[in-house]
Amino acid sequence: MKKSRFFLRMTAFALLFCLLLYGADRLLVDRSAAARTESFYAEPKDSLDVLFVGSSRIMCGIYPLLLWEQYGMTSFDCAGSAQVIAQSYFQLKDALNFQSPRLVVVDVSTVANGNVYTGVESFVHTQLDHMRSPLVRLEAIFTLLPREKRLEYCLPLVKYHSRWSEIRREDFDRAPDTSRGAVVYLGHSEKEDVPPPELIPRAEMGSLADIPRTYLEKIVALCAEKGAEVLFVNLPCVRDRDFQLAYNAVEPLAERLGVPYVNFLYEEELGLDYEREMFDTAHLNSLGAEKLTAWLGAYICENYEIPDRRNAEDAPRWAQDLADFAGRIR
Amino acid sequence: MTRNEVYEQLNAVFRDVFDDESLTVADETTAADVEDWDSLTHITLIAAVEDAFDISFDMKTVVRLKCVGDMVDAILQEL
Amino acid sequence: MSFTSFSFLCFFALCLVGFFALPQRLRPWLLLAASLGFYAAAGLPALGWLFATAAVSWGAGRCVSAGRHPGAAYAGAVVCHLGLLFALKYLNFFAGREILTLAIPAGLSFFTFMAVSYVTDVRRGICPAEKNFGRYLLYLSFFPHVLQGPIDRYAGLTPGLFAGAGFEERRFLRGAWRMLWGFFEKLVIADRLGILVAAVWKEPEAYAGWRVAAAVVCYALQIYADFAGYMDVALGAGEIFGITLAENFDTPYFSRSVPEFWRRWHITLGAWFRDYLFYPLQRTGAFRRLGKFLKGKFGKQAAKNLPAALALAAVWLFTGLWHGARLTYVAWGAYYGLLIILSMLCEPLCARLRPKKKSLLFEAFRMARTFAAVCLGYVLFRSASMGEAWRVLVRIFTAPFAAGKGFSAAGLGMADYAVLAFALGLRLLVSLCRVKGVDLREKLLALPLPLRWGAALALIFSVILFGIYGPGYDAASFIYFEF
Repeated sequence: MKKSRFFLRMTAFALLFCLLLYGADRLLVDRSAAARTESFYAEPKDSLDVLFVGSSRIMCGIYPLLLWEQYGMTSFDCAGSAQVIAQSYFQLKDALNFQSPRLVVVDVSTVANGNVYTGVESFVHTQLDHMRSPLVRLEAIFTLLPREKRLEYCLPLVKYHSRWSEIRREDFDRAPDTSRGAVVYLGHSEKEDVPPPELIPRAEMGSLADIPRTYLEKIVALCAEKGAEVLFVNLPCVRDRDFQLAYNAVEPLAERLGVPYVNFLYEEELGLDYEREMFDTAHLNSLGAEKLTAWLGAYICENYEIPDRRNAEDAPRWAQDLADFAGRIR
Repeated sequence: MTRNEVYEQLNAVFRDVFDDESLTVADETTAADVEDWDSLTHITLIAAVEDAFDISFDMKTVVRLKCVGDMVDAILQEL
Repeated sequence: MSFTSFSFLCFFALCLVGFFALPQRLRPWLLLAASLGFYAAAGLPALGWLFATAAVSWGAGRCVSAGRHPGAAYAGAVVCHLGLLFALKYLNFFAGREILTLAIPAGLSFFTFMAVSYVTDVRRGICPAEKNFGRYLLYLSFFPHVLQGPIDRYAGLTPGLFAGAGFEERRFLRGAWRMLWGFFEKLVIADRLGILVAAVWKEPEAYAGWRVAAAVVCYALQIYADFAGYMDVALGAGEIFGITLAENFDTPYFSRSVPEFWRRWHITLGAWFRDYLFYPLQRTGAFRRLGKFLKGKFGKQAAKNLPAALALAAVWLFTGLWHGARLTYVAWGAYYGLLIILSMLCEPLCARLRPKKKSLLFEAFRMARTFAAVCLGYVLFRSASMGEAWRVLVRIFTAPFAAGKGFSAAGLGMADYAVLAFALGLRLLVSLCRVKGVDLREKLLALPLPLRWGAALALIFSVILFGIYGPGYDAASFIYFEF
């Protein structure tokens, strides 16, 4: 009799403990990038028609709010800094549990990186700590990360517990991020100049490493399963020969998979002024992003059936967010 | 030998080893009760007791001895 | 597997479930399986050595009790055990070069000493030989004490070790509180102080002498929190299973003399050397003859003191060496040997100098003096080489107020010092309760439920938030983009 009462009490204690642990987690796990990553889940279910997936180039180069302004397209930049293709696969898998887009645009720029995850821990934490599909998150941790790192990702508190001495006011009143995953870069970076790229011939291609190739294939398969079309893009950048060989190598893969591939390095129609419209050798600034977003929006409308939602129920919210965003970029 | 007779001789040994004429031990006396009786002097005490009664304790007794009562029991066993 | 790791917590949780779910007679077997599994994490060769040690001592025990060449069996076993210890741990050190390249199995010094204590106790008739090999193997390999002790005696653990005690709420909670406290000591106090101590030891010349001295004091607190913390986890775990392991610490820093310190610090090691080296050595024919000779020539005092001093010298050299194959350990042992011999020789004089009435001030003085002596010893103990120890001592005594770095350069921030103040305060409180004979755990269990739970959760979250574990968090790495 007493034994069962004890176990009941212990269970209650354990539950209380878990509750407090969850509170500690929310308080201490670094949220500096959380506003952006968590704003994705604030979008109503199945309301986004296009998802842009990939690295920081997507975040800087494509402005979903402008796409809505010009074409009524509802979209989101589901991207992460330095995110390699393998990570993008899991990011997409998680996103597809909340949205049913008609089109998924995949940034292939990290295809030159043959690793399973980017070595920059904080970026991986930003991506995984806030992921809301617990099974996808666990799958990502066990697939992408080496054994010794798994504990700190399964329990982020292991990494962040010492942050209690750094809690500031900002941790409590962070303004929500309404830019739909976009990040605005103005002007130029002081660290490097941006000369126009020296392009190698398009036909010259290297071979893709196993890991990025496998994950591109998995992304296409996943989208097919969920009834979404796929588009590969390589956003403008200044990179040397080795990178370009990899970018070009995506072309035969895309053809084999039946996926269109827009390599902006060769897209003269875009008319990008590298000196004026790039922030640094890898990211567009606000001028370049506006230009690219407009071109890409037109391309998507021409080739895909994406509804115009400028008169939908949700439109006033998009309009308001657009007004705020426009103030930041212009 | 009776227990009291053992104590007569034992008290003499204790007084000699620990240089204390007023020292008197009983069954419940332990090392804590006698100043200077610690692990450093234990063997000296044991050797003196063995000499006085012309007996020999085994290691089991030496190590397990907790109080004077144990010692007296051991002495009586050996005699 | 470290006690203060996540994997140990998972392992222990599984053990608990298994232990209380199984019927009584199977429980010791679960403990054996768990202990072997736990030890296997140290590697299969190590497990092999443990097994071999168990087999030899168990076999010798049976021979001795059966009367089959008891003397030879006993001597053979002791030679095997100490020989193995010497070969694996000390051969290269004494040879001056690398002869043997086998890895030292974890806990070798501990389970070797336990095995020797077993065969010796069987030989002396103190405990009967264990007929069942599985039971004996459990004694040696029991996971709470196999890696760092306590050095339990066979008679002290049985029959509780094999009893498979059923679940009892009070015992369970007491054990759990003790384990939690051990985690707190290790992760919050010891590992935090360790950062500061390591920084100062790396470059003592960069700090003023008094800061180096403060670091030595911090080391005294660190090593106590580390070792005693480990013991608390071990003994707490044992308590949960209904097994009472031997205490290893009794608020040692409250000792009034160095000999007393060694009766309160690493108690089971001191007891082992006393029972298996100090006493037997003094009982040998050679020592007895020496005693008689001295009594005749130089009187009672000399007869009492000189053999004891010689035996002490042997004990302390070996105690130092036991800690590791390093010159600084031997020097440390010699240091204590000298102090204890001197203390023994001066005892009659000191007894006369001591005030008749117990004055608090004088007691405090004695404790401070003892602590200072212990800290001096720690300089040797902590240093990897005699040169390193010398550098630390020179800095303390020749440049006490020289210019140098502040403590902020030693790897700890203001927040850390606040945590240390809180944690050490708590540590002092717990020690004072122990000294005054207050059973703190009983008091905690007697509290009303909300307070009890509050205290437990506060301690648990202190460990989670303030513990030193996990990859270092670097706020600077959260800049937005790099690629």
